[in-house]
Amino acid sequence: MNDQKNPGGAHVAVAKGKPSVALLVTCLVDLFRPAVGFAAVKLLEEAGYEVKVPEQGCCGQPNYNNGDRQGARAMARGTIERFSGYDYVVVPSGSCAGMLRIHYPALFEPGSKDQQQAEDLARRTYELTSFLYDIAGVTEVQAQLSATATYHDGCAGLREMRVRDQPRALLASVGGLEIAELSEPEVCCGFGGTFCVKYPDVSDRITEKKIADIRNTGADYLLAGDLGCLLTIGGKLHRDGSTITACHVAEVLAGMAEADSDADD
Amino acid sequence: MTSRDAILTKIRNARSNAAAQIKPADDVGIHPQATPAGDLLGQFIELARAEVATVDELGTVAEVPAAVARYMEEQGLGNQLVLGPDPQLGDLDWQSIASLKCSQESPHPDGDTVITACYAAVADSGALVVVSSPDHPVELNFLPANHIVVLRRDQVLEDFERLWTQLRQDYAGKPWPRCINLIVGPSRTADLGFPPKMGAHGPGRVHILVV
Amino acid sequence: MQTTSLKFRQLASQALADETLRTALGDVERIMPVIRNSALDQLENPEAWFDRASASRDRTLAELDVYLEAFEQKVQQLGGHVHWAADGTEACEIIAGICETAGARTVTKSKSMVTEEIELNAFLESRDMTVVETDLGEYIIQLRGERPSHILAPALHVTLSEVAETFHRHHDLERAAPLREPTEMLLEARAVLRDRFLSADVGITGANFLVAETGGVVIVTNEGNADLTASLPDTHIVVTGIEKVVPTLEDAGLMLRLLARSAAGQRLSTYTTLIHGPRRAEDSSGPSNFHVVLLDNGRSDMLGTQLQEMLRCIRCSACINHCPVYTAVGGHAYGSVYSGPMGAVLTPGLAGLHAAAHLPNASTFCGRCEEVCPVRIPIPKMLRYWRDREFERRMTPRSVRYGLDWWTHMNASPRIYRSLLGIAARLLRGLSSRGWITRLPGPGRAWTRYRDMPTPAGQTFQHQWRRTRGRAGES
Ligand code: SF4
Repeated sequence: MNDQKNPGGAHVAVAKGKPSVALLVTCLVDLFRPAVGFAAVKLLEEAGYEVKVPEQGCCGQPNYNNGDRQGARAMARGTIERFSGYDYVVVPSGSCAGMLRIHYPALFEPGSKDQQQAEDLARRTYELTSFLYDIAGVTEVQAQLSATATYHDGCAGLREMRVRDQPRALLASVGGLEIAELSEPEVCCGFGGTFCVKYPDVSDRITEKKIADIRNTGADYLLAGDLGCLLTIGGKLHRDGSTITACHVAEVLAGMAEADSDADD
Repeated sequence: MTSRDAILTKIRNARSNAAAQIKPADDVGIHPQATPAGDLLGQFIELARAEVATVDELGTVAEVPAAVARYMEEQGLGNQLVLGPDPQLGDLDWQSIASLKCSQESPHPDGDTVITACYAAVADSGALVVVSSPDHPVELNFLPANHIVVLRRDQVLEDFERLWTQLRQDYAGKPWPRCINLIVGPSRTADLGFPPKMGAHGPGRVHILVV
Repeated sequence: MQTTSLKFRQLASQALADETLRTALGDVERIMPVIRNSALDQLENPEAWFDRASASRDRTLAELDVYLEAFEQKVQQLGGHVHWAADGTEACEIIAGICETAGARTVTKSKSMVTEEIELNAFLESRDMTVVETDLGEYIIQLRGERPSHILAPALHVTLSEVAETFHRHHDLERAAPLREPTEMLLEARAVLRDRFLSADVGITGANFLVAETGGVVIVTNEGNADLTASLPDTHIVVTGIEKVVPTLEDAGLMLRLLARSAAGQRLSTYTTLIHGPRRAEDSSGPSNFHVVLLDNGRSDMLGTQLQEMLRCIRCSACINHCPVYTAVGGHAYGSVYSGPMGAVLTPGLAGLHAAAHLPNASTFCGRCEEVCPVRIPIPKMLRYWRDREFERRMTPRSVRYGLDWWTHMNASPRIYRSLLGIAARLLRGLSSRGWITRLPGPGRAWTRYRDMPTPAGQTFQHQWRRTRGRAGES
């Protein structure tokens, strides 16, 4: 790997070969949907990056969002240490990317060494689709999927990481894929991390409305960039007996969506 | 220690920290001057109409009595008109309109038709501005069922900022008017479902005569 | 301030089962964002206006004492009185005292969340005064003995047929024909309240802004009820929070541009009124006595802390109308006069964290509140602030605290984390049938009560990666 500290960009690394991307795969992908991780690796490698998967754990969001700053700090320190030295850190999740980009720096004393390191990591951290589109300059992919899909904007990706147009632009290049927009793509799906188990009935009502919106589009696939949203919506779609498949954007972009839905049956 | 002192002391004690909470703002821009396009009157009329006021463009102020009679007839508002104490309106030739019964009395609680002058209008929000005075008691704007307002063309201002400036000039060295009312169309309520229903506690009709 | 926020879970469940409430909230969710957006689009670059407005609020809060004293002085010069109340009880005492001096039997009120906060009506009634709310929505819930379910549309939860039924019962209309149309109900309320306006001894209003420059009190309504409340009785009392002061008329104009647009999709509310003191010697009408009661009630405690930005709030309710939790459960579930995101931040500040423990947690952190707030209040950050305090004070349920602690330990070593995930994947596969888990034990039960969970697809990503890409892929 490229050991040189390079917070500013890829240029130093390019001189030495391919720029390096460290993948933070996230707990949910790691456990529930490894295919999303492999899809991300494929997309990043095709875009010309050297992909590494450092040793890793949870980014600390559950702790941070439940008031446990100390625990969150401990996990942040671990992540900061293990992800230092790569040109970029890419995350197939808007909310975990937001944790690294927005919230890690806020966890530490302003001006402290921890905070400087957190800032350094924050500058190198990207959500997957925005990295591909904004940084890697990928404007089209080779994938095929003959279906109609709709796209849900995960809240943290949208509002913390400014992910909105990038996944749509990339999805537009998928052969055979029609995108039918939701009437309210920017409204929460009800997941909210631990919220969905702390207030399950409230969460369910929010998901119910999201699903009504999804059904109205007539789509075969529900796509999103966050597995939290997908588990929530997909889990309820399945409970309702719906045939709509919830799928991560990365899987579609990497041409791995159909294979995966077969495996589910 | 009185509550006044206690509260102010707490605020002052927090002040050094309070200042620290403020994030640097590039430009506070505290005197924003949105300048709408040329035709102020046109813009005002368009917005006032959008807010359910009705507007009649006249020539001179002398045409007001006839225009009022016409409006009241069209709307079926009877023949009782309250002029209020304003001599500007009282001096018009109401006699010539035989069908109208004018009085200076305060409006009847059940609602009447009242005509008043105004201080200004704000083009960018469609608001009439009325200012209270012995000639224009504030309740004239709120008690009647129908409010007819005479607006001079030269009274239309671009925005709030011009209004504040003009008020400061007109009331320099004098106390501020007791009530300054910005009025946008008829009274309405959103408490009985959407869309809002017209004619809540205030006038159900606002008719503007531009002279 | 009384709250029933500790019963959030239960109240929320009840609200979820209420179909008529669901319809009303559906309208809020469907209509409000659309009309708000189109109203803001009338402003060139609304985001720049948000910046100016939040900067203006910050400038005021940084020197709040200066502006409050300036305001006080101006009001006194105009012949009015300013009172300072440290808490709700003191405010109620001051107001009751003024009413008693005026010999008041009937008091009219225009809608004021601050008077809800201090529970003024009950206090005045206990002193043998009749209090009449004049905002139509507030009047309806007063008759029904309910609390507001929205800061601007207090009777949002009441259906039209319930309004008709309420008027029939309370207006002695038993033998009259039923009220069918909203306009009939409006005329009925207008007629009854007209008499109240004209016979009231004291009128009490809130304030949207206090202008330090002129001593003016800005009050905004669509019905015109605040103006009748303020101008017909011989005494007018304004009750408001200390944070409502703005330095100049320009600041007020800035806020007014954003308030009506954010609140109701209007350019400007129907009536925006600036009141300067009592009637003048030459006036033929207007109140002879003019009082302003400035309420602290926990507000100054927020200054200089991470909660300070909450004091920028202009009570526009945009955060409420755009909140997925509010539009699912409505205002009553929050158990506080302030509901939705702003209420979840304010209520613990005003009533104490112990009285409001659920509220900061009842958010998905979707961040839409912050996005729509015209004064850019970082509401999620403030909810996190309260969650941090709850954790510190061990108010977070023990199971959650232990769970988080355990999770931190499991994450101390990536190796342990990896094997933990491997075990979890195996356990979950054991519960699965045909790719899905329909029933989970323990904390997972809350998940499978409403939704299924997909079975982990094979081994964990990290396991597969290490196997297939081996050392080459590791750092
Ligand atoms: S917090 Fe912001 S959006 Fe919510 S009511 Fe206050 S000013 Fe409006």
